[in-house]
Amino acid sequence: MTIPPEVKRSLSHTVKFRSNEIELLSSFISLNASNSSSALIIHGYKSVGKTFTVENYLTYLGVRNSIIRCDECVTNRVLLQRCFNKIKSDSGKNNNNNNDQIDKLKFGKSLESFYNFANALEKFIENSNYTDHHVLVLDRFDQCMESTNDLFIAFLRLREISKLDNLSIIFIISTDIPKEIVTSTIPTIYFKPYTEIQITEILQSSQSCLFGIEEIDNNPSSYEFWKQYAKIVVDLFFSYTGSDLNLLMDIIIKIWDKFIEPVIEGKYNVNEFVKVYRQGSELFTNENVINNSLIREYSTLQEEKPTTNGNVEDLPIHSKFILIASYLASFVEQKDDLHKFSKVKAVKYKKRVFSHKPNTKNDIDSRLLSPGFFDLERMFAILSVIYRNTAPSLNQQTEINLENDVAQIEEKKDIERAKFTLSRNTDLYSQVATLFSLGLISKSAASDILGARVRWKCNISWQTAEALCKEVDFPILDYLADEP
Amino acid sequence: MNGDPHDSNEFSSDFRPVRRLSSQELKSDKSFQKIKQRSKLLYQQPDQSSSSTSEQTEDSVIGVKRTGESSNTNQLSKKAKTIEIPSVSKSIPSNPSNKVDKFAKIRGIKLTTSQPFSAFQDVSFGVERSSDRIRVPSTKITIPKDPITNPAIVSKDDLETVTNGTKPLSVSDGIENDLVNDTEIEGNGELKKADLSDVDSVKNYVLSQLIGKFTKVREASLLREKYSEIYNMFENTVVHNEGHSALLFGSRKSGKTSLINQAIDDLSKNYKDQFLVVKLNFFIHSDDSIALREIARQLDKKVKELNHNAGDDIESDLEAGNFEQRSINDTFANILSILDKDLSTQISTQSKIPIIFIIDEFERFTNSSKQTLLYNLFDLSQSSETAITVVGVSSKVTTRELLEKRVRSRFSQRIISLHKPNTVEEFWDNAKLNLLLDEEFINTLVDPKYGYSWNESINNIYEGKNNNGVSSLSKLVLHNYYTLKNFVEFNNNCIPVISEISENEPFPSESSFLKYTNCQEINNRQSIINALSDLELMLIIAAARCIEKFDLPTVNFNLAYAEYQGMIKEFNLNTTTGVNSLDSRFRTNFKINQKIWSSKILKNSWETLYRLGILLDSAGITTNNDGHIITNVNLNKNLIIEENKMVQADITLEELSNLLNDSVIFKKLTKL
Repeated sequence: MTIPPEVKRSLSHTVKFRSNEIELLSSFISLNASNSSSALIIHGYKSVGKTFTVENYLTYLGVRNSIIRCDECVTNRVLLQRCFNKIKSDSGKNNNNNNDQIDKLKFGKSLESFYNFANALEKFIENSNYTDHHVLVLDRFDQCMESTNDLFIAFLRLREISKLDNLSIIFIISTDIPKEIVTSTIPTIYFKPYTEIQITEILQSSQSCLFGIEEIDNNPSSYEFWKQYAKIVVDLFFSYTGSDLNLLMDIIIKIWDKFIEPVIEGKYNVNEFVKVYRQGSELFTNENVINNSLIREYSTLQEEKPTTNGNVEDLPIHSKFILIASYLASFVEQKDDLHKFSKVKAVKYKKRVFSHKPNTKNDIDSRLLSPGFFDLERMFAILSVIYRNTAPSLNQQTEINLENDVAQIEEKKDIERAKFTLSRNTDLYSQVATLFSLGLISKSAASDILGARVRWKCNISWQTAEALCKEVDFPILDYLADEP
Repeated sequence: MNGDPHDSNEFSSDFRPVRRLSSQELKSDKSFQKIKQRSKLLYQQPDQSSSSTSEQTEDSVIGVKRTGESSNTNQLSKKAKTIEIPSVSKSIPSNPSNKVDKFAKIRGIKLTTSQPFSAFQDVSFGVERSSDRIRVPSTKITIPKDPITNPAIVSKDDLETVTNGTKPLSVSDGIENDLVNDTEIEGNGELKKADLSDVDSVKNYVLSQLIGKFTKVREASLLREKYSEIYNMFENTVVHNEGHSALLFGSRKSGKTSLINQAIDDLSKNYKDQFLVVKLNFFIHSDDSIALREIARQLDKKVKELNHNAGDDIESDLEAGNFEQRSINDTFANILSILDKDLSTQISTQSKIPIIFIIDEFERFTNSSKQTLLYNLFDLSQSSETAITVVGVSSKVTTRELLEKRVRSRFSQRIISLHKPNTVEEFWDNAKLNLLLDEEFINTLVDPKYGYSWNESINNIYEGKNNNGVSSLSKLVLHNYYTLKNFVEFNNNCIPVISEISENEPFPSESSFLKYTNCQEINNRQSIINALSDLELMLIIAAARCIEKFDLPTVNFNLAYAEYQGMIKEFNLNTTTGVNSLDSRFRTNFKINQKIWSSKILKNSWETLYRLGILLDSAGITTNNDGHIITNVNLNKNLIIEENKMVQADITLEELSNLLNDSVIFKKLTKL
């Protein structure tokens, strides 16, 4: 049941560099159901043409098949339903068109579990006397939103438990083979990653971007232009994409329109690739090309401007201080609190008693680590300290007034500062609640906000915190940095 | 059988005419074969001993040969064969068990007589030989040669393989060996081009053996005894109405299900419609209620079928199928009450029809609360009037301990476990069954010669006769034996080879046995690393360096990125320093520094690493009180991973440096 050589040749023309894989594929899946293995795993990391190869092979073979995109299925139930419906419609045995009601009565309403699915499928195949070889392709089976490991085993046992002898299943996965089935020794075909040369050749072989102007497109040098363009993109971005063909295609399409602008405007000719490249060279160095976090705005079709420090700018001053205090509470260790925030200078810093080892955990900048949880009380304590020390209202420079006794004013001020508590003046709790609802701080459990056991953590990054401190003129580094 | 001794005389002098005659001879012997096969089913044990008798007879012949020791070994071995063959052909039609004793006696005498004799001649030589003789029968029994694996075949061809098999043990006779080789080569030469239909049918036959379920259970030395145990148990259930329970253990793909399927197939051939089989599999019937529904459904279906076969009218047909009820409790009560009484009310033709339960992935059913289903099934198997046999199939040896006390006490404690092969020869003997053709099948071919030479060619390839040195097939066998001992894996390797054969190349080509292995990933960590892009590789190196440097259990993106920045700066510095002289300044100007990519870009790479599974969620594996391992590694594969989320790296710096090629320029980054 080998595929005829001429088919093989045209197949190898469409699918490049995968002749070994196709050969193996043809030995495991053929037109004859009894000669095809019941299950086959196609495995390869990243997008290296797995689905493409399988789809092309099946079309060339001419076997009945149904392909399910598993990553589109939200739950396993949806997956099973799709499988069943697709097999039913692809079998060509579905005589009663659009008669869903009858089908539902016949095969059960909803395919809740695999058991129902297997029963329904068996019933359908028995009823319709469907004996052709059918290949079910479960594409990106590992990317279904629910875990599919149990389903995996169940699918493998399908032939064992039921009379579905004419069904072969191809799983296409791009992560490790799950531990549950690793001992079941399913035939596996591994797709190796492409090399840079192979990728270039694949991209060059078919021109996927056109100029949109017929004169230029019909010009044979437009193909040459494309080839050079593809080469350049692969050269520049291969270190980022690796053998991921889809990622490269995205970049190629993204840059193309802007890149060919000079050609379309008529500034340069199609065969003057180097000149075009020189003009558009910044396009390739712009990192936004590969950064997929920016979205094109719908109204302007321009890419949105990246925001630097979230949306913390328009917060009230107290909220900003609460945020800073919570950042400090999260990133300063509790044992250092006395040293860092207390006025009592008697507390000597005893950290460096031991001989200093070059690389220890303590040397890691705490800002790089994940935020620690803190109690609300601790944050309030820190807040009152930093507010007292740096808040503009409390730290105005006193005007030098010779009439008044400077010392007296300073004394007054000191009394005021000593008496100061923030909680008397402002409704801190509501502000904390607001920050929580904005998602800038979060809490450990989904319980009452004011519960005693709840612990909090700060959600803002260092960049945001830095910008925030600059705005309120707060020297945050004094509190974070370790003393030498 | 009359012509047999005559033929064998010819056989000993020349091989060719035997070949031609054998097919005709076999045709005439077909009725004999049928009887033989039939008796095989019923009397498994005696039959085995009969096949071993032929071994012993021939062994005794060797004894004869050695007692009359002389320099002309070639003649002797020929003589030996002429003695041997009539004795075997005589032994077959008569009752085998008697023969065993006789031959044992003869051997005993032979041994006693020969030993002093040889000791008289040459002491050291005699000792060697006597030890040889002791070894021979023992290996014979553990590693059965062809005659046992194909017990249905009794022909001269078979005998030839017997003699071939013993040849290495007998005194080597060069001429004899040459003769055999000649005929083989000639046989192959004749069949350079085989009939197209033959090739197709052979291909289909072998492929379906390799892909489909294993059907030569009775011929596989590993499964044969277990098979007869299971089969006898089933038979007792059906014939004597006994209830049994048993657990069948065996690692995955060791042939548990094939064994049971074969037993049930044979049982239904012999006792058609006299029993019911209910199969459950935890992976599909994932809790007790679904399993119950499945039991009800299968019973309904089978009872209906039985009634159909019995020729009942539609009315009884309707009233029969009512095991399954709308509510699960009713269903259960219904099943219990019906099974507990008897099925005579349900089926008019037979009273108390036995039921065989096959429960696959048995250990998983013990997880359900109170193990209700298992309790009831075991209870029924002991107390019910209907004969009920429960066979649990499991790959976990501790399954019996997982049963609750009250369930365990109802279980018969009978445990059947399957073993893996202990020697390479044993492995090959079992593995090759799927590649070889059956005698019966060969006779259906247009040209049976092709079938025989097919079997020969498989053996030849394994032994590496075509080219000196180790053949790829035996490499494959050795590799499999010393790593997995997995027959299915072996089959997977053979499928591409078999599917390649065509009219012009009717025999499997030796070179392509490694084709499948070449298309496998070497080792998943390594192939992940190979699939990474440069940036991703540097990021994972940075993460590993971080872990190594600070002795951390986990790492996050921020740390890895900071390390990445430092790492690349250092890298660029190191590559540019040391070129101070003026003439090399020109070169340094063109030195390509590694670009430091922005954190936003590397964030994508970090996500890719996470998705590929080389970064794992921290604290992924925990054990609960019962000692079960609970893993939530990549359980919630959230595609967005926060910058400061701590993850474990599944690879260390040392491993990385081992995995990287020397040509990769980042290799030196793996040294701190």
